[in-house]
Amino acid sequence: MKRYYAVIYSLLLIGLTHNACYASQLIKPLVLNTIQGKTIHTQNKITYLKFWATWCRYCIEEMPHLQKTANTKREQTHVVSINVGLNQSPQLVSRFLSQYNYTFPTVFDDGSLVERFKITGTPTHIIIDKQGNIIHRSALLTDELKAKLLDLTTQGQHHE
Amino acid sequence: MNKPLLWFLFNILMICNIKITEAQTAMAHEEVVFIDIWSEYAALSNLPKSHLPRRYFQIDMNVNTADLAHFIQAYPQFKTLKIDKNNRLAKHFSVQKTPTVISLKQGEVVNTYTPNTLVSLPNKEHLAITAEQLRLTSLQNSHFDFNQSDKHPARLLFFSDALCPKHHLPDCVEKIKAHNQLDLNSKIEKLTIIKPFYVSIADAHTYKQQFYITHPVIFDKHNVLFRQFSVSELPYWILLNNQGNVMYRGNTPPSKTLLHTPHYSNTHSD
Repeated sequence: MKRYYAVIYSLLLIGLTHNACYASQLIKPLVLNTIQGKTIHTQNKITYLKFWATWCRYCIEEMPHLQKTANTKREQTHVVSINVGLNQSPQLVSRFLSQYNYTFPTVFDDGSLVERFKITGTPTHIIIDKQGNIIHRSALLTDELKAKLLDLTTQGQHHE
Repeated sequence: MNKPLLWFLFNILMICNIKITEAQTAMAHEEVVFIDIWSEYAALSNLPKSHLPRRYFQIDMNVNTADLAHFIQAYPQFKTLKIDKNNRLAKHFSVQKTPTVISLKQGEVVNTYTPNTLVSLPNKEHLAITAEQLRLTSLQNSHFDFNQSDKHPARLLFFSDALCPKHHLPDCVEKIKAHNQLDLNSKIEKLTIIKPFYVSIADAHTYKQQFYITHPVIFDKHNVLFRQFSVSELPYWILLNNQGNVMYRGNTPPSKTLLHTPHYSNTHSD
């Protein structure tokens, strides 16, 4: 009997450890509902997520770059802004986007994406490859991120 | 129940890291208050008076323990303030706004209070830059004109942030030291430009003292230099020649070779 429990315990341990590692390395495909009324499936697509809020001045300053990236992205790439939802409302976010003519897909998060990606600061930039690996994560819009985003856009294609 | 089974269950609990929430172990009747210190700095929340003991929690966004200690020092009434790690409690109580006051009786929510606050849209970040805004004065009271048409010496600008050290400013302390130690051609002005977000000119003075800076430090009040040179990464260097053209930009200092290239100086005689 002891051996039976020991085996179950070991399997459980292995399973949980494996899941923990898996969760830290691979992101399961996301289904994102935007405030523009569209549903985005990230499966087998490169996905760039920017977590932000209207009260975050760094985030707002970077928005023109996000729009430019969204405008020039390749077909097999998603560019999605995720409003973190803290001290925000979907109406406020819509007003903001409309005021500055921003058209990039935007998700109003109920806390689940913030939790899933362990977001504790704004802005946070994340790029996920087709396999679900996080290939970039940074707080600000760095030169490294700009170079990676260039590769995701039609501009990047000209450089290849 | 036999011992192996108990051991098995105990380990499951340990592995899954199941914790009884703080709310469940709370006192019989108390209030849990969620705040955001950055909003509180801007204007202290007018919370309803209460005779119940209060525990304050900071939303886990853009803060660290040093920020909390600084805030408590300024506002001792929040001495019980803790960071709600990964927003676990906030999620438990479905809190998405601050401040929120939750009254608990033996762990059960009996009342939730969130004042109606009007959140305004940001309006400063996309305004056009004026020539006047590009004329700046350093903390040491020297004047600098960044209008491209104006003749000025070559300049090495170090874009920094008085919030250093913070997670969004990687290696900022080391980079500040590196900038201080840079040996420049005497014809190149060494400057530090301070981001104005969430800090005041007083914080810029503190930064200057804290990091022993002897060269001119400019508080970029309207954030115009950051925008003019599209600097979104911090800390960051930009080298301008005497025509105001960008000769180098990057998150590491320019090379010695580059810094000693003659055409960065005022004259072409060197």
